[in-house]
Amino acid sequence: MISNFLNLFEDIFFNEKYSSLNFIIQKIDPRVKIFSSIALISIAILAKSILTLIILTSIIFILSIVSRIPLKIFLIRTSLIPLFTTLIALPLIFITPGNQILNLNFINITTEGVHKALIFILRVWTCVNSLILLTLTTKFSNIINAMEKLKIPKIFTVMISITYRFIFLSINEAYRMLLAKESRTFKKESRLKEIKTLASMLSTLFIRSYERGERVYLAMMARGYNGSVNNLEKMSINRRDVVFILIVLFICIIALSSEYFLGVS
Amino acid sequence: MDLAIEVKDLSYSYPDGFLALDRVSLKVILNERVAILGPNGAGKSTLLMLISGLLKPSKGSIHILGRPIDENIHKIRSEIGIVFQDPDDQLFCPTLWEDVTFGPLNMGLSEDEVVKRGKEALRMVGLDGYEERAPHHLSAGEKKKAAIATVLVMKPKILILDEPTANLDPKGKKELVKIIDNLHKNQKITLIIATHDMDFIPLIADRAYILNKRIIAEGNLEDIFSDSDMMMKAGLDLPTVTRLFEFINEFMGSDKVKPIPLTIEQALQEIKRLLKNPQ
Amino acid sequence: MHIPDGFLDLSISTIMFLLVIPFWIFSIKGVRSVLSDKQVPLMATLTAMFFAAQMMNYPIIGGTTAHLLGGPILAITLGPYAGLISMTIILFIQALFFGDGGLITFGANVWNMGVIGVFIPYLVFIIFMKIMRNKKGMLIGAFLGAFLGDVLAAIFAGLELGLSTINFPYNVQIAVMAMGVHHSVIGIGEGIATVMILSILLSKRSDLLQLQKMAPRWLPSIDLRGSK
Repeated sequence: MISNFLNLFEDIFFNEKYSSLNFIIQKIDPRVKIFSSIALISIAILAKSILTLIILTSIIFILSIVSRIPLKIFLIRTSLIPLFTTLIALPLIFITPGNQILNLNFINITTEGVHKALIFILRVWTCVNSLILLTLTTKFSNIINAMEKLKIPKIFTVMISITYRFIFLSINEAYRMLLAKESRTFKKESRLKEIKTLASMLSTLFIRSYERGERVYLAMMARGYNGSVNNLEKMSINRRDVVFILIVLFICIIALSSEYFLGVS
Repeated sequence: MDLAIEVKDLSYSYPDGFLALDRVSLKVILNERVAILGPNGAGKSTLLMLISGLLKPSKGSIHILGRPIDENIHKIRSEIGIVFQDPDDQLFCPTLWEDVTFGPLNMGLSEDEVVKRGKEALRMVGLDGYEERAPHHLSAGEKKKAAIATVLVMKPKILILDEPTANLDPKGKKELVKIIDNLHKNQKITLIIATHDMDFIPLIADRAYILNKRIIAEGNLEDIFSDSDMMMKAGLDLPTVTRLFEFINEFMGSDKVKPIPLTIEQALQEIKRLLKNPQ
Repeated sequence: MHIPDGFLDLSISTIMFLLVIPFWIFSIKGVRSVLSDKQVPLMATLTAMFFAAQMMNYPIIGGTTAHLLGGPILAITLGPYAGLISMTIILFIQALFFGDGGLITFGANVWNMGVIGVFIPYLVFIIFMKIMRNKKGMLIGAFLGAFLGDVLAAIFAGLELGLSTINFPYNVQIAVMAMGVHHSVIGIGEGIATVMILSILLSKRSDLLQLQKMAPRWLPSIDLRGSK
C-alpha cells in the first residue's frame, strides 16, 4: 500500500513527462515563463471582477491544453488548494449582510456573500493554475538554470538542486521506516507514544541524512568540487519568447484597464 | 614495472580516536587488477578514501603514479577515480548529464571536450540516451553504471571501486564485469576493488590483499584462496566453486585438482577433465 | 500555515518580501563565515530529510493531526543562518512543485516559517541554554522556543491575512484568533517532538550538533559535552 502511495506520489509530483514534451509552452525560455507566471498571478491578485478571473483562468487552461497536459492531471494538481479555500470561504455565504437569496430561520444566504466567496475561490484557483502550469511545463533543471541566470545566489540554486535530488530518497526511507513500524504495531498507541516513535524515527533519519551529506561531499570533492557548480546549459531569448511575453503583457494590460478604467465588474 | 600506487606504513584514526587502519603497506602496479578483501568494518572504505585523497592519513605516506599524494591533490583526484558503494551518494544532480559533466567542468575543460567526454563515458557503460534522466528514476544497476560514468568521464588512470556488487542483481553483476573487463583491457586502467563478494573477485582481479585493519595476507588469488584457514580467520569465505573443489580434493584424499578453480568456467573445464580422465 | 497566492494583497506580499531580504543576505553571509563548502551538500541532504519529515503526521488533541514544521530543530542543529536557508528551500520546493504556498506569497511564508519559525526558537533555546547551563535548560529552551516560534509564526500569518483587506475576506481579529488558537495546540506538539528529537540526538550523536560553531560571536560559549 505504501509503495502504491509512493508510486502515485512520484507520478504526481516528480513526473517530468509533460515538461519534457516539445510543445509551445515547453519551448518557451524558463525565465520568460517564470516572469509570465508572476505577471499573471499579480493580475489575478489585483482583479476585482469574476469575469476577469474567468478569462484569465480560461487562458491558462488553453495554454495547458496546447502543451498537451491531460486535463485530469492538471485538475488533480490544481484542486487541492482551491478545495481548502472553499472551506475557508464557506462561512462568507452566511455571514455577509446584503440581499437575501435564501432565508431558512437562522440560515441566511446573501448574493453579496456568494459573490465574495466565489471571487475569493476563483482568484486562488487562477493563481494556483498559473503556478502549476509553470511547474508542469518546465523541467526542474531548467528552472534551476533560469534562477542561476537570474542571479539568484549560488548557495540557493546548488542547495535546491541537491535537495530536490534527495527528497524522493528521504521520503522512500521515511516510508520504509513507517512500514517497519506498522508491521510491529498491534494495538492503538497513546498519542505521546506515537510522537515518541516519530521522534525516534526522525532522529534516525537525521543521522542517516547527515552521514549521507558527508558522503555526498566526499563524492563531490573526488570530482573536483570547489564550492561552485558549473553548468553547460545555455539559454537564449528568441522571437517566440518575445511574442509570448508580449501576449502575456497585452493580456495583463487589457485585464487591468478593463477593471480600473472601464469599471467592468 | 611502474607503480600506480604505493602505500607505506599508513595508519588512520577517526577524530574520536578509533584506530581504523594500522600500518598498512601495499603496492599496485600499472594496469594491475587488485582486490582488497576484508569483512565489514575492516577499514576497506577508509583505505580507499585515503588512496583517493579524500581523507588525510594520520601516519604514513601514499604515492600515486610516483608522486606523493599531498603534492598536487587536484591533479591526483582527476587521475584516480573512486566509485562509492552507494551510487546515490555519487549522483547528486537533477539529471544524469549534469552529473556526468560535473567533474570535467570542474577540471576546467573546454565545452566541446566536456560534451565529447560525457557522451563517451555514457557509451562506455551502456547508458547512451539516458542523458536527461533523473537519477531517482534509474534502477540499481543503472545507478551503478551511471556512477561509474561520472568517474570515467575524468579519464582516470586508476579506478577504485568500493563494494561494486552491493545491491546488484545477477544481470547487473554480469554487466558490471563486462564494463570492468573492457576498462582494463581496452583503456588500460589500473583497478582496485574492495569487496567481500567472493564469487565476484576471480572475475575481476588477479591479486588480492586481505585487510582487517592490518594487511593480513597478500598474493595471487590462487595462493590466497588455497589458505582457507587464514580466510576463515579473517572473517571471509572462499568462492563457492573453490569450496566445492576443496571438498572434492579432501574426499579424494589428494591434491588431485590443482590449481583449485575459482570461477564457474574454470570449474567446468576441471570437471570435463576429471570426467574424461578419472585417474 | 502555507499561505497560497491569492490570499494576500499585493502590498502586504511585497512588504513581507522586503522584510525577508535582509535576513537572506544576513544568513548567506553568516553561513559563509561559519560553514565550509562541506556544509552545502550536508545542508541539502538534511533539508531533503526535513522535507520528508513534514509529510509525516502525528496526532494531536481531538481528531486533528499535525506535522513537524522543523524550523526549531533546524535552528538548533544547523544554526539560524543555515536554518533559514534550509527553510527557504523547503518552502520554495513546496510552493513550486507541490502547489503548497505561492510565488507572490513566498516572502510572507519565508517570514513566518523561516525567519520567525527559525530565529525565535533559536533565541529562546540559546537564552535558556546560557542561563541554565545544563541539558535540562537546553530541553526547556527547545520546547519553549518551538512552541513560541510556531505560535508567533501563526500570529504573523494571521496578521498578514487580516491586513489584506482587499483579498482576504475576514478581518484581523478573526484571522489572528483562528491561526493563533489552532497553532497554540500544534505548537505543543512541535515542542514535544523537538525536545524528543533533540534528546535522542544528544545521547546518540551529540557531535552532530554544531551549536558551538553556530552561536553568534557575542554569545558566551558553552561546553556541550560537559552539560550532559
